[in-house]
Parts: sequence; C-alpha cells; structure tokens
Amino acid sequence: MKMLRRWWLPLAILLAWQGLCSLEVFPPYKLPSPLAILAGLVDLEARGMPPGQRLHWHLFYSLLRVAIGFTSAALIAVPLGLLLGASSSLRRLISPLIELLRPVPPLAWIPISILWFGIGLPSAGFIIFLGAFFPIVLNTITGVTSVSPVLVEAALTLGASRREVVKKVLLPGALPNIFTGLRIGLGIGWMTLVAAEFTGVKSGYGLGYMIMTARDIQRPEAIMAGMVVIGLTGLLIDGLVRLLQRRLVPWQRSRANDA
Amino acid sequence: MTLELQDIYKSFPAESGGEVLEVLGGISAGLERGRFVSLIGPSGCGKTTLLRIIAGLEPASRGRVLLGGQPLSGPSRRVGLVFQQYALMPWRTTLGNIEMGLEMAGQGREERRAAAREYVEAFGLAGFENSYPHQLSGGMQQRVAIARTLILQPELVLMDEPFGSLDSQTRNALQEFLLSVWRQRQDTIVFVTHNVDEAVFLSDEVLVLSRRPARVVARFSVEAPRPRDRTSRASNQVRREILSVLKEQQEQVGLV
Repeated sequence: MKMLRRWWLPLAILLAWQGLCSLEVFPPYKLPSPLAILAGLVDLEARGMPPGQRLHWHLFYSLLRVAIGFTSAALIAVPLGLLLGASSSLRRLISPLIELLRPVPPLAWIPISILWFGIGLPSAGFIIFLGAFFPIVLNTITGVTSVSPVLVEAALTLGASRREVVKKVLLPGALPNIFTGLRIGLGIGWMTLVAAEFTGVKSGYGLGYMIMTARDIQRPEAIMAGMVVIGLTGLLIDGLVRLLQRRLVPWQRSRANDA
Repeated sequence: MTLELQDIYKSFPAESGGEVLEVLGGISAGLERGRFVSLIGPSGCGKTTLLRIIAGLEPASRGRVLLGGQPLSGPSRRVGLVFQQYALMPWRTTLGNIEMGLEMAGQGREERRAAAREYVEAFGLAGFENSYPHQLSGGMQQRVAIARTLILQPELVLMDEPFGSLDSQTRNALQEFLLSVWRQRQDTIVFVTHNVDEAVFLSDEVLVLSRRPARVVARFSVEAPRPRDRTSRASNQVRREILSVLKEQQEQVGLV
C-alpha cells in the first residue's frame, strides 16, 4: 500500500505508455513499448548483443572499469583532501591547480587519454578517475574545514598529537562530507563510463558499447533495455554506498536518511 | 604553589587599520594545590583568553605560566580544560568520549574501557554509555565532558563557564555535583564564570579581573563551610563586596 502511494506516478506513466504503444500512436522503431523493452532485456541476456556477448558480461566489464577508476580516485582524493583541509598553506598552493583542472569535463579527456593509454581498461579507468576525483577531494576539504576548531582544541588538551588530531578528529568529523563526495563521485564515474564506452572498448564488452551495437543494428528496444540496466545499476550502487554510510556514520543517522 | 602566573600580557594584532587589542595587562597570581578558585570580571575582559593561555592553546605575549615550578608551553595532559560548549566528539559515544584521553595516552582498550565505566557510574551516566552526545541533555553532555577531563587526573583543571548555557535548575544541580566530586578528589580548579552567585557558592577564592587590559584587582576568600547555603548572610556579604568591585570596573567604561 505504501509502495503504491510512493510509486503510483511512474506506474501510471508506464501504463499510459504501454497503452499508447498498443494503439500504435508511436511507431515502434522510434519508441518501443515497455513490454517490448522487457522482452529486449531478456533477449540481451539470453542471446547477447552482439549475439554471443551476453548482458551480464557487459555489466561485469562496466562495473570493473568503474571499480578501478573510482577506487583509485578515492584512495588518492580522500588523503589529499584531508591534507589540504588540515593545512591552509598547502591549500593555497594546490587549490588553483584543482580549480583550473576541475571545469574540464572528464569526457574532454577521452582523446588525450586514448593517446596516452590506448583504448582499453587503463584509458577508461583514467576517465572515471577524473570524473570521481574532484567531487571527492573538494567535499573532503569542505568536511575538514567545517570541523569545529573547539573539537581540535579539546583533543589537544586531552594530549592528542597532530597525527591523532587528523586521525581522530578531522577524519571522523569530515566523514559525512566524504561520503557525499564519494556518492557524487561514483555517480559521475558511472555516467562518465557509459559515455567513454561509446567511443570504443577493446574487450568487446561494456554497457555503453552494448547500446552502441544495438543502435548500429537498429534495435531500439535493446537500446532502451540497456538504458534501464544502466539506470538500475546506478541506483543500486548509490544504495550500497548509502548503506555503508549508515553503518560508518551512525551518529548522523537521521540526516543521512534525508540525503 | 601549584600554579603560578607571572606577569602575563596578551595583545592581539590590529585588524586592518584598527588598534592593537590589549587584552591582558600583566596578570600575576599564585594558586595552591587543591584549591577551587573562580575568575570573574566584566564581560569581554579576557577571562577566556587567560584560560586558553594557561591551557597552552594560545601563547602569551609576555610572562610565564608555571605548573609545579615548571614552565608550561603548549597543551599538555597535565592541564585539563572543560569548555562551555562541551566540545564532545559527536561521533563518539559517552564511553568513547570519556576514554579518548586515555586512548591518546596509549592505554589498552580493556583497561580504558573499565576506567571509563567507573566514571560513567560515578557521574550518573549509567544507561547512556552507548548514547551519542546529541542524544544527551546539556547537563549530561557537560558531565561527560568533565569526566573526560578528570579521568586523566590532571594537576590543574580549567573550566570555562562550564554551566553557562544550562538552565538554572540544571546549573544548580551540576554545581552541587561538581562540589561533591571535588570534595573526594581535591583537584586544583580554576573556574571562569561571569556569575557572582556561582563563584561564591563554589569557590575557596574569587579573583576579580579589571576591564581590558585585565589585571587582578581584588582577591576574596570565601570562608563559609560547605555545604553552603546560597542565601546565608556570609554568602551575601561576599557577594556584595564582589559586586561593588565589578560595578566600579563597569562604571569606568561607562557601561552603567
């Protein structure tokens, strides 16, 4: 009942869409019906796109690329953000560099990254790295600088060293913002990935590549089924990060739920 | 003498064209072990600045702070500080906050947990061991903060208007609680307040600071035996004297 109240609008649109398609208001080669898309989804897994290259392998390769790019971004961006947040002189030195690089869309890096790394995993990982890196580093800095100085002073009077201040005050204090950065970074990484795969993959697998193949052989229901998979996977990944956030930031439970 | 303040001056550099702000103008005072001393003075006179200098969070422009004969420089476990705004770590539970200093000192997990539990018991926090600060009332948060400081057995305990943001009933209850703890432990306490009643109820001695740049203008002993009656004649007498010194200070600035 509660589910229905929350989801009735998307459901109604889906029903109307199916109805209009059944009445042949839209030509099926432009807008396939929801049922046709569902059939396309089943077909993507059963037969593959192109035939033989099945959906779960496309998904696996896409997730692998994101995992590599995102993990390396997080491993560098979080410590760097902590460092820049803790030291204002270092921040003054590095910030202009970040501000200069940040507005360049990750996708604009594709040509140069292909030149550097060739087409393949390193190049895709690099693009995703760039997409995820900046939101994580910037949110971590914000998190650190928003920690109340009184907490740092309290830790100092309790005998904390500078190292301990970073580890036991700045890091936990910045954690809510770090998670915001991770979520944004992962979202951008996922979006960047699909676009990067449009331009080509070496392995022959990837959701973006799968969709482009479906376009080449004029299969709109497979294209849209691919879009559905991308959307649902993005939703699922974000849900997992939120779950992790609720576990690691339990003192912020109420606020984490709103986000 | 446990604590010696030797001619402490503090001024802050001018902000964009303004004048140099002289906050402390030569504070000298000695404090014996086990005494409860209050610092009182006109608002903005630099009480908190003085406390921060003693705690090592701020350097003095001139002068020295000696603890047990040794000069202090920088924050140290020997000096504890209780903040007005509690300053508890929001991500730590009651136990986690209380044991934080022991953790920094490298004490083992079991040992410090056990010590923290004793304080939880003694400070009336049983049942809230695993609560986060935002789940506690202001009075409880301040008890956690005091426990966190006292568990380290500092030679000197500084308190910066610790009950300033509590309602008056909670405030009275915490004053009595603090006295009962202090009676057992005999800590050396420097207590900053702007509340004369509080200073007279709690302290062995009250130091009155002048307006900026602050100096010690008067030093009162409160002889009344504890537990004290807040409305006794002896208390009223001391209160009247302190208030008249404070009024003099304020008249000089033209606030009254």
